[in-house]
Amino acid sequence: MKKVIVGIVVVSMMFVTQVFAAGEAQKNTGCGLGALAMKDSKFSETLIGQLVMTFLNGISGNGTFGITTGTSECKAPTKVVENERLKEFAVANVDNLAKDIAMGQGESLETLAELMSIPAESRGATYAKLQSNFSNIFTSENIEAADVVDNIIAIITG
Amino acid sequence: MIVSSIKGCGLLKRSISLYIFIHILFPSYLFSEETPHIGDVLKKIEEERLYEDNYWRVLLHYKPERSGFESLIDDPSFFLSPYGKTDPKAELKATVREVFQSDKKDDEHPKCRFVARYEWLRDKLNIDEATFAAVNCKEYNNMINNIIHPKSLVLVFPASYMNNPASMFGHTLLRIDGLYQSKLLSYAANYAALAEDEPGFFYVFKGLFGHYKGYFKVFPYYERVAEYNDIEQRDMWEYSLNFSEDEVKRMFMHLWELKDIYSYYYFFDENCSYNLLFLLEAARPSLQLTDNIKPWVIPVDTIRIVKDSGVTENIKFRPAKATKIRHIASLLEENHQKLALKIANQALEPENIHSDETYTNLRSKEDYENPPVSPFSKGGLQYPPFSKGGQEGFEYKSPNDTDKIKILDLATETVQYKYNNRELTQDAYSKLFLAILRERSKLGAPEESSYNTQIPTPPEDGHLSNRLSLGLGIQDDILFQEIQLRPAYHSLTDPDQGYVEGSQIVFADTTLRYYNDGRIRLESFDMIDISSFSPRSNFFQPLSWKIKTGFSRKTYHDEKHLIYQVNPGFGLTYKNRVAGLWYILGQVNVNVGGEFKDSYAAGAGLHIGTVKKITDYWKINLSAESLFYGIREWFHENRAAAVQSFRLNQNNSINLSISWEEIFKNEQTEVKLNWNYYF
Repeated sequence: MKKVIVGIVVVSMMFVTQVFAAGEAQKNTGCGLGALAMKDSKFSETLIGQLVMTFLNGISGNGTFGITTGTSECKAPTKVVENERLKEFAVANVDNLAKDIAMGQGESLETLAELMSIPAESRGATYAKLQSNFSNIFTSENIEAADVVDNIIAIITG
Repeated sequence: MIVSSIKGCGLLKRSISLYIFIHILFPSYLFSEETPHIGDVLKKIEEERLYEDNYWRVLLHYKPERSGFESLIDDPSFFLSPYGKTDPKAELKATVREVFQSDKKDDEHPKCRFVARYEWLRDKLNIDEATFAAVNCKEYNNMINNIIHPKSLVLVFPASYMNNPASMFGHTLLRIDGLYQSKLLSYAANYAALAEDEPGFFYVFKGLFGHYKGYFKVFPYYERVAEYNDIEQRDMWEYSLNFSEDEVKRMFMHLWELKDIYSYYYFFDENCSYNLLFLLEAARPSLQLTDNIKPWVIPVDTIRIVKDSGVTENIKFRPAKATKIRHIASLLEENHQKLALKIANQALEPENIHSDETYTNLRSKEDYENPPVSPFSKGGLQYPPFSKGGQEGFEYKSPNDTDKIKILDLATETVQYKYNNRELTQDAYSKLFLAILRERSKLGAPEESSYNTQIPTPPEDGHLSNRLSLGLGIQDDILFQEIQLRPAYHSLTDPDQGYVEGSQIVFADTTLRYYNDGRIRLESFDMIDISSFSPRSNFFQPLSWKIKTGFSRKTYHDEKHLIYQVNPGFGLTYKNRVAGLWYILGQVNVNVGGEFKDSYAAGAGLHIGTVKKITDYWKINLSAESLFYGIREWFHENRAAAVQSFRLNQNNSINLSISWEEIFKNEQTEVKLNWNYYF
């Protein structure tokens, strides 16, 4: 009896530890499309993973008071005066921006408009213009967020 | 600080004695000449007993402890007196001394480090601001004036993960809105444990028992939205709070004081949600949110506490990507949903959405025989002869532009979902994503409000987290009464409002029974009983699972024994209009008890069932289980049950259940009626 219980405990301990060890850190995937952090691995989808997630709610492993997103390795748009927030937002939301521009509406697009100080009354027209120029903004799948912002500015002012 | 790397409460005493030791060596330290001004101030503090002020207790997180007070903050650098953790008076005096005498520069000066304490003292003691004019709080001023601009507060609750009932416990954040219209540009504060070591077996236990340090952190809100909505697929609830700008500023000053300060994280009580309440108290000290707390704090309960205190104004719902996908799909007929899937699966070029050939292909023989979606999606494909609308069933309705917009939007969301789920490489994703969007950009904007998802019952309106149940029943002609207590949280047969359908998470459910023949018995003790019956669809193919472990009574050799069992299972769940949610799981069960040969028996079998909501107030759960034991003992166990649940109101429900079981050829039938009260 004792052996059985000890056995079960040891095996499940090994299992849990293995699963944990398999979890890998988030990878930085660049400054363009698809750069958003992905799920930490399939760990959270396993049964043990789901159970453990109960206890991990609220446990995380990175820095404190992190006001910035950590986009320092990405280049800044050239056509705007130094605007760190705009750059950070564009890098972190380039996928949603692409989606919103193609759809002609959306929260990311509104945010971008606000960061670029586009007056409320001209936003509708701006969104339509951007939508019809989608291919000129997102010229290739390897485009970086900074170039997206520059292209947007070129179209708005052009 | 004398000792900066204190790791536990036991060690704290050592730092105090070290202090006393230093004090004996250098007695002048404490009694250094104080300017007469400080003497006056300290006297005033004594006279007005300022250290008993509620706001002082809030700022230092003091809670009554035996005869005195103790702060819940564990970081020694949070206190200016070595006795600060347990002595509000000593801490206040030390604060005054430090503020007046510190030779630290600018941001390190206590005026800047402990802004809220300083401002309170300044107002209470009528200190002339000019006294500290030379101290410039650069960092703090930059943060509050140039970056965050705190103006209003929103409490944010990300609800469950899809298919992960455990996450029902949720998490809470405090969003700080500033000058921007766009809420994505706000910042969000949360309290989270920092796990410094490698994840391992003891990770969980450390989280439970306070071995991790918890810190307050601030993040751009768009990051949190991406994490919860897009990656973890959690709907988010946003409760705007009626704090004035001054109150919000006070909250922020306190948040600044807590920067880089730790307190030990306890999963059950001093957790993410509980600690966040201190920030609200700092905004409005009269709230007293952190006092009336049970031994365990479930995040949704903190939402209720905040709501009951009257500070919430309105609620906003921010749907997860998966919720959006379900919603857009619900606006399209099956054929068009399938088009979106084909695009997302790279089986159809996005530009071919305009080509007639696409629709010819859609009813090709190959497609008909091998639908690429799911072999189980019955009725999903309306081919001839099943087609409803068309003449002789051969007329396929091609989408108009409005439908095409929805199809492409659905494909877009699905591609993003797949990428987040690692079903696509970054290259493949970027190409596909842009190809779809290029087509989409040619079609204009969708009509206003077409994607407003239906808002479900907010989580705080669901039944409360604890349950007391009184029951009366008959088991094989013997009458019994039972009392059942469950500290957490939700079971399949409880009312669904505010919870995820098909999910169950039960901890420490305990049932005592009194049989009319005089026996009083512990009937069952379910330590953990979690199920996730998450339906599969064209767009999502989750696995369903359950895990149950605890003690229950089983008839064995004509006598009932308390048996410990571990019972996991995996399977599939579907949903349809007639049967509701129906599930089939393979399961194993390990029984441990002295009655068995070598004290255990293991078996495997099936578990099937349905959960059908007939009205908002009436739900039926039918289930049948079968287990064959072949290891150590040879027997079978069959069980069937029908439970009807009637919801009376938010916190009362009635269950009527009929069950039958057969173990070792011992049959047993039971009928019982339970009244459930949630509190």
